[in-house]
Amino acid sequence: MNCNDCQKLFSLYLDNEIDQHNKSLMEAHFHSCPDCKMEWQAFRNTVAFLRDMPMPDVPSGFLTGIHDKLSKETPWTRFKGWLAGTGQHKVAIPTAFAMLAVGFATAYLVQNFPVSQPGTEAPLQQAGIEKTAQKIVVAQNKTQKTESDDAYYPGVPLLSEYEDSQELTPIHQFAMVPRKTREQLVPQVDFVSTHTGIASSSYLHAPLTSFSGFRKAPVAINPDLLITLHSAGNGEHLETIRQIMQSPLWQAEVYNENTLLLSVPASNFNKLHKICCQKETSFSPSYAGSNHYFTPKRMLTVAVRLD
Amino acid sequence: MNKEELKQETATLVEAFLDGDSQAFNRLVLLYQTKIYHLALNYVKSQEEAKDLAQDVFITVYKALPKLREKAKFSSWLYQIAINHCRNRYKKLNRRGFFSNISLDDDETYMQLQGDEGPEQLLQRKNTVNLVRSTINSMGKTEKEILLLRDLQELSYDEISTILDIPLGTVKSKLNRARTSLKDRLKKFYKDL
Repeated sequence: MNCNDCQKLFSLYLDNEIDQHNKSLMEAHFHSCPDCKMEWQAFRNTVAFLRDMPMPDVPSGFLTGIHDKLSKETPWTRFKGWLAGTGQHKVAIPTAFAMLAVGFATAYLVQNFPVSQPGTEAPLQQAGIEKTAQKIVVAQNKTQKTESDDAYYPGVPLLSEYEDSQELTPIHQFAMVPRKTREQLVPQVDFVSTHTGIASSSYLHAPLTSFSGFRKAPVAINPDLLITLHSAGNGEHLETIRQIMQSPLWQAEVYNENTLLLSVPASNFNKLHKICCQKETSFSPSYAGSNHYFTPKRMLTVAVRLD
Repeated sequence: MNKEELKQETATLVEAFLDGDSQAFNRLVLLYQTKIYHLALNYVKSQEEAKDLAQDVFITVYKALPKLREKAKFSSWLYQIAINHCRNRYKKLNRRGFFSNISLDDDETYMQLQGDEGPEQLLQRKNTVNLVRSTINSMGKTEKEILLLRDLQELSYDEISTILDIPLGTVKSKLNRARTSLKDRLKKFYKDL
């Protein structure tokens, strides 16, 4: 037996849990190895000291404290005990799992079952174009950041000036703001009616749409300007659409499969003209194609049709 | 009271408690309170906390005793409950930074040593006790628990294996390692002196 093996057996030797064979080997080793014998004595003394350490007295009132605690149990502590499963019936853990399962199932159902959105089932009004569209005024609602409001829409009254009107048309917002970046200050342009009493164009009351779904039966509109792009291939169209989308001050909405509705500040007309006239384009009214289009409106509603 | 007598007395009291004798529980508490309190004190270092902790152990015993299947294993079962309570309370207090405010050398937080020795011997003994405590505290969790259960609670290897739910071989090897590290530490300390 070497020293390492001998010292590994110190505990068992001390507690008399060692078999006779190893015991005699150890005792023989002690005779031949004074180091191990010294280590053994230190080991034995250490354990003896540890066992001899005084046990502290239990503080007075220990037992009565237990009964006090038992009698003072509140519903909350009983509930905690029930949760921990220390009561008579261990139902807490299965119940918790069942509740979790019900919660997950509910969440799944809520997320996956179709719920009708407000307005989606409203009948689309095919209102007369000429009757209402002239009453539309595109006004600035608010900007995301307050700086340089006037720079965008000089002289345009703010929405807050309309707030007293009881006939205020609900705010409709085009569903998509093209390619906003954080650095750009992009105003959110909403449509409000300045006319009293009569609702504005019916398409403003239609539900919001986005590129994810086309309307099957688009409502009638009366754009200020209709631009038709004649082109040989889709690629050219896409390039034009891309430039339109990347113009930060414009708002765009898909009207149907080949028509895009834009809300463009009148001061941007030249830019619009430049983008669209890269291709073969026809304008309605036709005089707009001459790059001299004047309008009293601040915002233009423009339909861009892909032919 | 030797171990066998303690075991018999415990079995009698457990039976009596289950038969509706409310005094039997009090006598069970008196039989085990010092051991459980001492065990708790080794975890939480504060008399107040240890008292509260040990009381909670007995409250759990009071509530759960009717569910104990093997009545003969009351002692192991009691220690299992105590160890679980101690571990949980230790974690809770440790999260709150409780132990950073407590010094192991502080006599107020631990028991006073008394004896017939002279002041020098008493001081040396006190130092040794503090050294033993700090060494035990620096041990791994399992080694510390095995050492406490074996040398301070005087439980058998089998009982320790059952209480901590670890193999008997592990109990043996870890106990030897814990005792050896304590021995080495004390040896080094006295050599330095």
